[in-house]
Amino acid sequence: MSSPSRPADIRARIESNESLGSSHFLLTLSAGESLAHWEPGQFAMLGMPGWPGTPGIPGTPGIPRTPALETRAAPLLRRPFSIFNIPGSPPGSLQFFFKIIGGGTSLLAAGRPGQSIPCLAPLGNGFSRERATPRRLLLVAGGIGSASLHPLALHDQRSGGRPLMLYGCRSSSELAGIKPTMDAGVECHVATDDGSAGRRGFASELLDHFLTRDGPGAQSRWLICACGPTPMMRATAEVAARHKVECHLSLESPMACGFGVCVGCVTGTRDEAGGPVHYRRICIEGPVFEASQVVW
Amino acid sequence: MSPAGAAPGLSVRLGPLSLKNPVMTASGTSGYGLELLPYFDISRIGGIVTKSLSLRPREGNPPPRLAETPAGMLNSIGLQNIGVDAFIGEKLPVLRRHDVAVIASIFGETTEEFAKLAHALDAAEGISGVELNISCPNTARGGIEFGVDPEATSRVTRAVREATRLPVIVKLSPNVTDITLIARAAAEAGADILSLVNTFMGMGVDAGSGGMILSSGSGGLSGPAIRPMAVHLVHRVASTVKVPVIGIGGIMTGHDALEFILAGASAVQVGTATFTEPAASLRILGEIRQHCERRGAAAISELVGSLKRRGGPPPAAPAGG
Repeated sequence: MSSPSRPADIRARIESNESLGSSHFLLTLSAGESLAHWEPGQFAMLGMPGWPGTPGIPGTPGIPRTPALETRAAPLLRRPFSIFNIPGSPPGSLQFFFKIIGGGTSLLAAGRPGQSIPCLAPLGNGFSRERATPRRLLLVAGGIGSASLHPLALHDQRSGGRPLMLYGCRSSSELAGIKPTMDAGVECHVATDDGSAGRRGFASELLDHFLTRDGPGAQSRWLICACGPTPMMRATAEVAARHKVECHLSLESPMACGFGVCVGCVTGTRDEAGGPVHYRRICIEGPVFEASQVVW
Repeated sequence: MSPAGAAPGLSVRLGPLSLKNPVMTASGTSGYGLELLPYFDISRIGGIVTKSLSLRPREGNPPPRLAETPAGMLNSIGLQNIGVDAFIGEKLPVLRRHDVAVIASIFGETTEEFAKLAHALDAAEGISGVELNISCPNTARGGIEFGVDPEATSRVTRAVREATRLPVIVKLSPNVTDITLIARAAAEAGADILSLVNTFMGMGVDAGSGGMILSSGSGGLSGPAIRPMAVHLVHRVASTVKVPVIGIGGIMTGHDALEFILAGASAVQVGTATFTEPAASLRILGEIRQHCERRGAAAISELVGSLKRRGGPPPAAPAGG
């Protein structure tokens, strides 16, 4: 894989925006020549349709809309989204897998083919070191956190690896979040909060169970990469530390800019145990951090 | 009127500070300028105002540090910065390779710290001016912001004036009862230029969890939401003091920038717009140029303070009749 393209701010045309069930969408943008290469784990800042200068938001059958959204202008700030596909697959496209969680994602779900949206990408440091490991990748995803681990799994598979994904969500109704990864032939194990699918419990508990059963020496066999809500990542980091398995986290945060100037998306980090805490920008110094460095 | 076909003159003179055009980036919205390099040629805009620098590096506030609000955002970064020495040693040499005016924003906890910062920057090559961020706590006065107190504003401006030959810009806080009192105090103490406004204090509450959204509780509100208030304050200050004024507050388009210029600003700074679009300042400059061409203005300076009262004579003119 070539080194990532320099980030560029383009107006990307929406090629398709497909509902995958239970509020999950697969958005496909035409990437343009300037966005040819990126790493799994890198992200984009997307402006919502209706953002100043973009065409208005048409009515969209089948998408739940609150009355407030009908009259509200698009949000001022763009939103960060992990890039879901790997370069060239499909050709010339940049894909995003997202779930409606608020006003911004509702507007994005209403985006129609032919509209253009602002797209600043590729941003951040992806899973470049993780791609090079001789160990098996143990991917731990919570909810829509699967979006950033999916391209890592695909890339690993193509390089001859056998990635394993542990997926946690609230209930069986949210399994849409893991379906694209399962469909790609990646081995997936599921946990749900209510036990309606897979094992009952959190993704971190599934990880603990898995590593316990896997027996001594897990650190020489596995490298954990995780992405999901903060409490899930914190618990995952604790489980990984207890089993002494190296763990890398792709952190999430609200971001105003995504390219390092607002300094709003920081996380506390420590270079060594007991050392001073430094705030590092998730957008530029991350989003991937070694779990042992993150201060919760 | 401009001769047919001639490009409008965009250069501006703000007292001792000459800029190739009236658009700068606002402090805290474009890092140390270098972060913008992947997106556009920074030598095309009028100037870069750096993130506010302190004598020593600062880690800033714990997250969460920002929240979006209607047509704006709240931030409470806590003035995280690398410190003036690292700026001069590491960032400035790279910035010097670009033909752009660099304004160093500075803040201190005491008047003496402001003066030391100005002195350090005076000795550095490649700085076009200093901008005093006086919206920070003054430890000598129990933590009250310099910028809400005319006397503290006067003292810190004078101290910086004596510490440097560089053009001195004082950036005013809008969180005061009468901004013209602070503006006068700064101008009389030797400020060459006033820039306004800094962010309005605001607070976000998460009614669901019952907690505050920002870790520090309150933060600064920026973006288009504050623009009418900022234009109003720029108009008041520009009508009160003789020193040139830089307009700041939610500028997203050339039209927005013209609002400030007509209200009396000689130049503008673009802030939050850069977060939403890295090259916003360059786009806004292009829109200002187009506006001048459409109005047939030979130079942007013709438009400064040219505001007319709706349906009547300009505000400064005698009533007549």
